[in-house]
Amino acid sequence: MITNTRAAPAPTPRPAHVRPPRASATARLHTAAVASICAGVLIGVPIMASAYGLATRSTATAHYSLFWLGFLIALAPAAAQLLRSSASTNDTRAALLAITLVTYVPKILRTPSGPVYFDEMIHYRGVTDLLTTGSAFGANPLLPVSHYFPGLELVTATLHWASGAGVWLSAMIVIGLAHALVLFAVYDFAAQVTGRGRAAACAALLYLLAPSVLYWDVQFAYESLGLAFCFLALSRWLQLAAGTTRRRPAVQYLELSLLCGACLLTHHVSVCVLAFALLWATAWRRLFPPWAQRRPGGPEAFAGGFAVATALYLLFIAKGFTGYVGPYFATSLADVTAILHEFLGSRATAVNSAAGGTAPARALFAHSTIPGYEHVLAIIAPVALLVVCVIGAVSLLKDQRSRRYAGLPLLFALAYFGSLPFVLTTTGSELAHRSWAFTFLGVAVLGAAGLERVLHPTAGTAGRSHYLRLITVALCLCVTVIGDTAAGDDAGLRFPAPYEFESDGAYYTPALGQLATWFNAHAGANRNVITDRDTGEFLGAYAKADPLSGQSDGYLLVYLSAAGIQQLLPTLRAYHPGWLILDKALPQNLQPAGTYIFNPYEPDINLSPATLTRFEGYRWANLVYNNSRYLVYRLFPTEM
Amino acid sequence: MPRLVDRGQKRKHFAPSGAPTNVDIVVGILVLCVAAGLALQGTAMTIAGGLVLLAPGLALRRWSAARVSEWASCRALITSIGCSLAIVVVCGAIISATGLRLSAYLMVQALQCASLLPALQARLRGGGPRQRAYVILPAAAAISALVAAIVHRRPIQLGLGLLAAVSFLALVGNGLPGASHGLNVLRQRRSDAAYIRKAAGVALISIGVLATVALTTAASLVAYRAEQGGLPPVSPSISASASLAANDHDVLQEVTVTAGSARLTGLLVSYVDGAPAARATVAQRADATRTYRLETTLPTSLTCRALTISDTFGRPSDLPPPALVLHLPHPRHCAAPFSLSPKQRPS
Repeated sequence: MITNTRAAPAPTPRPAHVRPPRASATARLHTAAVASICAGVLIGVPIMASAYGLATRSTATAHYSLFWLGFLIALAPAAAQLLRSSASTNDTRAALLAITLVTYVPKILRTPSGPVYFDEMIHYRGVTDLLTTGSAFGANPLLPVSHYFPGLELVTATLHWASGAGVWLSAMIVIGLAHALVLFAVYDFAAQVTGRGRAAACAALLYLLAPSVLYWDVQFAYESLGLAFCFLALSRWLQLAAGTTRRRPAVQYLELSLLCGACLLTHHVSVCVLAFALLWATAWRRLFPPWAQRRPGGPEAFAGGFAVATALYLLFIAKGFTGYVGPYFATSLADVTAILHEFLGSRATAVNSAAGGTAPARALFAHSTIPGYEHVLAIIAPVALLVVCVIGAVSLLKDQRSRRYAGLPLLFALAYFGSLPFVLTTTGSELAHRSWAFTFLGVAVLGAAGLERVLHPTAGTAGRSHYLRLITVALCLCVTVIGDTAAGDDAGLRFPAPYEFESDGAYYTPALGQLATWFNAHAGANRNVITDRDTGEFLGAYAKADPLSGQSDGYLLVYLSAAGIQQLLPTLRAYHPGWLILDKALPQNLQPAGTYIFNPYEPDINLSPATLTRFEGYRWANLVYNNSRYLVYRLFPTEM
Repeated sequence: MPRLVDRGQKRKHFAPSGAPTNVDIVVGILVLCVAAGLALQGTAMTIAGGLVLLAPGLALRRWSAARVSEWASCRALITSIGCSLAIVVVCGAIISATGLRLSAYLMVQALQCASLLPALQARLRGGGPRQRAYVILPAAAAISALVAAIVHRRPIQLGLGLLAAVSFLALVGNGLPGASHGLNVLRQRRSDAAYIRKAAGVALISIGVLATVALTTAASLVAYRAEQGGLPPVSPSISASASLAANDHDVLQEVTVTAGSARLTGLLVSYVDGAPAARATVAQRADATRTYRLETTLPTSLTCRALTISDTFGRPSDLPPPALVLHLPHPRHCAAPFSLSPKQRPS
């Protein structure tokens, strides 16, 4: 019987020794990689969240350990994918996305509903002012120099306008986007320098171990967005100069101009770093000439032109910049010089600053509440990084191709390790911490080259000790991320912490919230306020008050006797102060002289509760609010 | 391992006719989810903003995938997002530097310009002359609208219409080939999952593209009309007398307006120097008189300063509210302990 049904061909049995098709094995590996990344995130993130829940009621340091447990669980699968030699581009991309998410979760958990850090208050106020006034260059009373760099405020306000999302949600989205851009830019930059995808992935992973990447560098502040523009522009310039793309030069120059222009309008230090880095790369390009053959002079001309434009903008338009940043550099250099001199000359512990005052050397982790193991790891981490970076630098310089592009990473890495002594001084520590976001790019690239060298040595040395090296590298990464975070971010930045005077992220009290609500309802916006820094920043952001702390010596009132006050009044009247707000805890947290006081007056009384209420005796001050923590006086400048 | 070259690698599973990949399908679903989620907030601007923000990714994946290597397309996407943010910064700074007041309308236009950049990049990178024209035209229209807005110090309807029309043509011009491909797939009644997924992806992306264009245009029009004072309805200013009623407990509770607007639903009571005091909603209405009850009662000792009443509810926040300045009839309450006037005693 004949049928029309065609029998299906019988499957050919596969010999046992024949390996399955490579495509299916790759697909299975890809599925496993994505599944492990997702599982890590799904398990680790809730643990991190529970650590933040624990931090609100814990007086010990258990929440730190719980946080690190969750963080490492969330990070490990993605990190493994980045280090795996056979990872596909899709796996790498998924791992980078997962890492971006995981490293942004702590910030979301720390500030879910509004600005907490000092700098966030400044820019939150900038956005609300922009939304109200429609002017991008309006003065910001919390930081006079910031209105010359309105990039962050513009992007956030645009997102708010376009999406209808709240201001803070818009801010968090913008910063999250900037964080992702930074990571991918690091990857791209490292890929340009090393020419190897795995090294680039390692560099992105290492950059996540930067001292401030989990909190400080993702705060709602202009450096967070400026950093993204800076790294993207560096990467684009490198690609343009190296000639590794056949895209039209006009489009590349347009992209580069946009990124550099946005960087210029976003953050002063970022644009300075960018301009200097481009000039340095140009010089390096001359030292190691066989770069692009097709466009020899264009990138150099662009770098030079951009440096000139930056200098013109900072000197003639953003005129407050030099006055704002200059003292930090001068004081830091003077302090480090003094410390070195002391170290060499065995002088006393107090260091005489060349700036004129006495700057005590800063003790590492003084009054810190972080666990002891973090102290130890914070010391070990730079040493481990130095070793890996030296290996990586040697590896890059030996390679003829990579040597041409190694100038920038070498410069940044040298700057990072050179900045470490600055943490021993008060002003220099601030400067060093803020520089690490930039300079760690070099550490990441050199470290990645070093890690690759360690993990995948040249033929002949690979073999039985591979797993041992892998475990060692994993442990080093854990040490580095914990140690660098401990070194980079204060306890108050990382977790909800008990009140601490003048501590960023740890100054909030419920009474301060009550005060802001009262002030917003009864005083209104744009009122000149004399108060301390903590209160001024908070009221500036949440009640749109205009603190005079940075512009006048008004807060000196608190520290002066009656004669001193009378002497100060004529000066004070010029600032039209409307309100005086005093923290009742001031006598217990005496503010060090010199922080906000830039005139020759010196405190001449000892603070006590009675000294805070004495202003009721003056005709120009009227006590109008008194809660558990704050006294509010209404001031009448015409009566002064 | 990522490749460091941009061209020369044509991935086989990217159909040159524009059929989407899995990534495109995910992006399409994301577009719709975001649109639906944001739509719950209820404003066209919200939906449009979300879609505009996703447009770079959508456009780039759609237009560049068939031509560039995998990492290069990812790198281009990152650069595009960075450049889009940069455009917003630069446009905003230029607008503000010219003295114009930044507004939702202008900045959404800037964002729209920014969202077109990836398309421009993708087309300039690989397309033929006709394809380049597709993208250069909307970009030029967007830029001309922005320039016109700056030069004439007000948005121009013509520029907006041109922008919308050409954007529509450009975007749909790329969406339609994909849609026709999807229809072909359906017509062939192929039952294998890959083709069904592609067809679904095509449909999603087409809907996303169309929704992007329609909603951004609508949102721009809404913003434009609002900026011109056409939408939402703005009530006539309060021009007649008003009085503030304080009861025996020295608490201000009600505001009476004798010739207010018929559409006035609420008042904002604030001090004459701008400090907000309380909101008031309609309590009673008669022919020409309405009484508004304050949501928060005010001690009259705190209201010793003159008050401003404005019909802030329902108005665009960037319009100066018409105001009527009132004075409280109880100066005797302006005394300690909460006096806002200087004390009359020697220091």
